[in-house]
This record gives sequence, C-alpha cells and structure tokens, in this order.
Amino acid sequence: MKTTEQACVLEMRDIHKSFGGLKALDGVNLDLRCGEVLGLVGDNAAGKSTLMKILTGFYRADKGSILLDDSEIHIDSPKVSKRLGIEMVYQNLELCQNMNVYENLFLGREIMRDPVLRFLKRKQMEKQSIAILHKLKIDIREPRKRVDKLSGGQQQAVAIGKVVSFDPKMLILDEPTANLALKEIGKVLDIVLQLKEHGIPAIFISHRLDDVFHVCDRIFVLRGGRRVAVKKTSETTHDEIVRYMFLGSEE
Amino acid sequence: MAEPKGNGSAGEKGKGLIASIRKIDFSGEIVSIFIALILLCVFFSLTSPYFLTIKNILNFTMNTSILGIMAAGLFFAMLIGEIDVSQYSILALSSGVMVVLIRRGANTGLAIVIAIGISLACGAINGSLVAFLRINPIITTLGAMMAYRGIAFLITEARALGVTGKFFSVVGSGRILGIPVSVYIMFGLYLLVHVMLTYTAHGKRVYAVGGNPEASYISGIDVKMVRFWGLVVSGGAAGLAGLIFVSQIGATVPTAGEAGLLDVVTAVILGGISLSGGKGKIVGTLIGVLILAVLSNGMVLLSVQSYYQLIVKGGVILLAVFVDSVRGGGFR
Repeated sequence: MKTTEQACVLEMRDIHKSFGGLKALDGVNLDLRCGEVLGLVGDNAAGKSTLMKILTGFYRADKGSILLDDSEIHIDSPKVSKRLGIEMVYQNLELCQNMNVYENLFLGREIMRDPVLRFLKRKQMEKQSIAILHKLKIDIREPRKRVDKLSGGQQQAVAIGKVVSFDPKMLILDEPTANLALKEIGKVLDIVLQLKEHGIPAIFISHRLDDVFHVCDRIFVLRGGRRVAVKKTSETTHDEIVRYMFLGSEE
Repeated sequence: MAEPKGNGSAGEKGKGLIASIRKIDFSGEIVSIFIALILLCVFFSLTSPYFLTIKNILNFTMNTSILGIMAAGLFFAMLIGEIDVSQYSILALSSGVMVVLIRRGANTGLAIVIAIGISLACGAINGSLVAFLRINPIITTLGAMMAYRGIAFLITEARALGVTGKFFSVVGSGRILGIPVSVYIMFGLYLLVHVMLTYTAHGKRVYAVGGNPEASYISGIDVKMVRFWGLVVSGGAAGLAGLIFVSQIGATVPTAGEAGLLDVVTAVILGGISLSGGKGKIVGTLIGVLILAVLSNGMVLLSVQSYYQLIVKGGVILLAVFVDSVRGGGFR
C-alpha cells in the first residue's frame, strides 16, 4: 500500500468563491496525496460542496489555482473534470434506477460495434461489469439486474464501481454512507478501503466521523469557508475534530 | 434475460426456453395490457358477429396504421419525459405541402421528401423550444399545434385537396399476402424502434435521460440533444403518418385529426409508458394502439353513439393515468 507521505496528486491553492455578498470559500488550500483517502468534514454551509463543485467544474473559483500532477489545470465544466480523470460519486444522483447494473456502469461510455448506428457489445459490457465488480469485491453476480432491485449499499457500490471503471486519477465520494443501514455502511467502507489498496486517491466527504476515522488517512476540516485544520487520522480524536468543526480554528 | 449457455443440446435448449419463460414478469404492464387487449377482443367477438371477420380485422389494422406510426414517434418523446400534442397538426401541414406541390407539378418523390423534411423541421422547432429553452412541452406543443394547423389551412386554402398516383395507391390500398402495405410500414417502424431502443447506445441514452437526466448529464450524455431529437422523431413520425393518410384518403384535409386529438397520447399511455419518462416498451405502445383500435372498432360495430364513445375513451385515459400514478409515475 502506498503511504500518505508521497507527492501530491491534487493541489487547490488559495481558492476563493462568493455568491453575491456571501463568501462561501475564503482562501482554501487543499492537497491530496498519492494513494491516500482524505476526509473532508465540516458543518452545513462550511463550503465542502462548493469546494468540490469547483473541482468538478460545476462552479468556477473567483480566485485561486488547481494543480493536477503538478500541472495547472482549468476546469470549466464537468466534462473537462472527467476528462482530466477527476470522478465524483454524487449523493443520490449517480444511477438510473430504470436501467440495469451493466447499463449504468457503462452509461455514456458504452462499448459499441460501430460509431454511427452505435450497436452495443452487450456481452462484452456484461463481462467487463463482472470484472469491475469482482475487482472491488462487490457482491453483485447478476449485471442484468435492475438497479432499483438492489439494496442501498449495493447501489452505492455500483455507483463507486462506475466511476472506478473509468480509471480515474482521483475520486470524490460525497456522503457515500448517508441513508444506509449499518451492515450496508460496512460494505461501502470496505469498497473505499479496496480503492485505497488499488492506489486510487480519494476525497471522502461525510458527516459520519466514525466512517471518516475508519477509512481516511488525513482529515481536512472546513468551517465558514476556511480551512481550520488538517490532521493525520492517527494523531487526532473524534472530540478534537468536532471541536474544529463547530468551535474554531488552529490556522 | 440471461441466454442459455453450453453447446446447445435439445434438452438444454428446452430448459433454457422454460427458464426464459419463467423469467417473464407476468405482473408487468406489458402482460397486463396484453390480457386487456385479449379480453376486449373476446368481448367484441361475442357481442358482434362481424368483429372477428378477416375483412374487419384487416380494415381496422389498416385504419390503425396512421395512429400507430404517430404513437411510435410520440413514444420516443414521452420516454424522454416530454410530450407532443402537435402531431396531427404536423400531419396536416406536411401532407398539405406535399399535395399542393404535386398539384402544382412537382415530382412526387421530391414532394414526399420535402413533406417529411417539413415534419422534421416542425419537430426540430418543438425540440429546440423544449430542450434548449426549457419551455414546458405541453405549452410548447399546444402552441405549435395551433400554429401548424393555421399554416396548413393557409397552404390548402382551407380545402380538401385530392391527389392521385401509383405510389399513393400502392401505399394506400396495396396489399402484400393480403395484408395492407401501410400495416407493413407500421410494423416495420415498430421493429426498427425496438431494435434501436434495445440494442444501441442511442436507445439506452433515451431511457437514461428519461429515467434520470442528472445522472445522464454527469455521465457525459448531452441531455439537451437527446430531448431535442426525441421531439424531432415525434414530428418525423407525424410526417410519415401524413404520407399514409394522403395515400389512404387520396387527399389532404387541413382538419385531419382534429376529432381524435389525444388518441395518440391515449394509445401511448395505455401502452404502459411512465408519464415521468424512462419506463416503457415500444411493444406496449403497439398493444395500446391496438386496444384503442379494437375499442373504437368494436363500439362502431355495436352502434354505440359517438358521444358514448368519447366518454369511454376519456374513461380509458383516466384509468391509464390513474394506474401510472399508482405505479409512481406522473409528470415531473
């Protein structure tokens, strides 16, 4: 497994963003290192979503720069973000409930026989789906099963499998354990650990500190649009993180 | 549905077939509406001696082809979560242009191409307003319905205009193996739509946009273009139906379809499509078309007064919408 001391995959420097008179982000610096899972925590309106939406091209920063593998990048749309290898698993948004597992996994990037009529290579898509699910130890054996017939945890697993199948440079997981039963949460966290084992760096956004401490190497705390702390998980406690989230800053 | 594996001995094939049959969801909408169609046929065959005659069946399937072709196009729009109530007006406009051109000496083939082009252009106007400007599709196509109808009246000077020609007589009244040509065209179109929706990425993207536009957008699908093309296809289907209409009637009529304005929508809803989009099968729409055709034909054979026919059709729409809302559909 790679360590957290390695070079940065991503750097966001001095990011500012305002909506009218409201300062959503005020000079935030964030770095994501090779192979690590970085927990991003903060109370509501702390700026987590805004920061990630800048990274995924839904918003543009008013000021600041983003570096991916030491090269400055300009992300002005979700398409550009995807092209750069930044994939995000959105909370409750990712899957088409009316389609099956393999159709969801390949949505938008279907394997086709020809570029005009676009006939699908369905068998190949199914086979590759099984391989993707197997690689992440996701226990879904029937790729033709409709997504709405899966449990919440299985759906989240498919959503993660979908973005992983595109060989991302990094992942953003937005509240992947929200609204799941306890048993399902364990399964999703196992998948996140699998990702770490495969060396895929990830930003893990969650309100559940137990989950954050379980899978993250470092924890980044935002409060009122500012970075208030970045702590190694092994060197901090729940109480300390909660204090940073709700009371104040060290920086 | 999983296909049987192995090297295909007769026994294995038999088991595969049984397994496939077992996997059919008999509680699904397609099976339910198919049973409804059968029950209607049984009812009318018991109450009218003419219903099950070959002549009657061929007649009503031929008369159904116009409705059926438009329904196949509307199915696309509704699968994406939109709707199009301007189809009959597009039919009147495109067929009007075609007949006027022919009567003024234009080549029949060229006139047909122009007519189909106009129907696609009408669909493109609807599609642009709905997909790019995000104007409500009901409002858009209601407005378009009136505008296209008005232009049809202008072009034809509010008259029914006759046209003749070998092409029209073949399409309108020709038969192959005793079955009307227009019925082949309708079934051919349904087969094409089925193949496209089931086996191509285009089809999967139509389902995806109807089911979850946000997820489709995030997955890199151009949601606006899919919506746009859905309404273009709906318009194009109306143009093709216009061609059949002129062939069968031998004329264009600017008031075409005014009486049965919502028949197409009714047929598609009856076919089990979800009003919120993303769910539905083209075979369901075909069954919905046949249900409506059987119902109309049966009531005519039983000499049911036209007012009562309207009440029954209205009741059928309400029933279908009610069933859809119980299933969790409904316009977004």
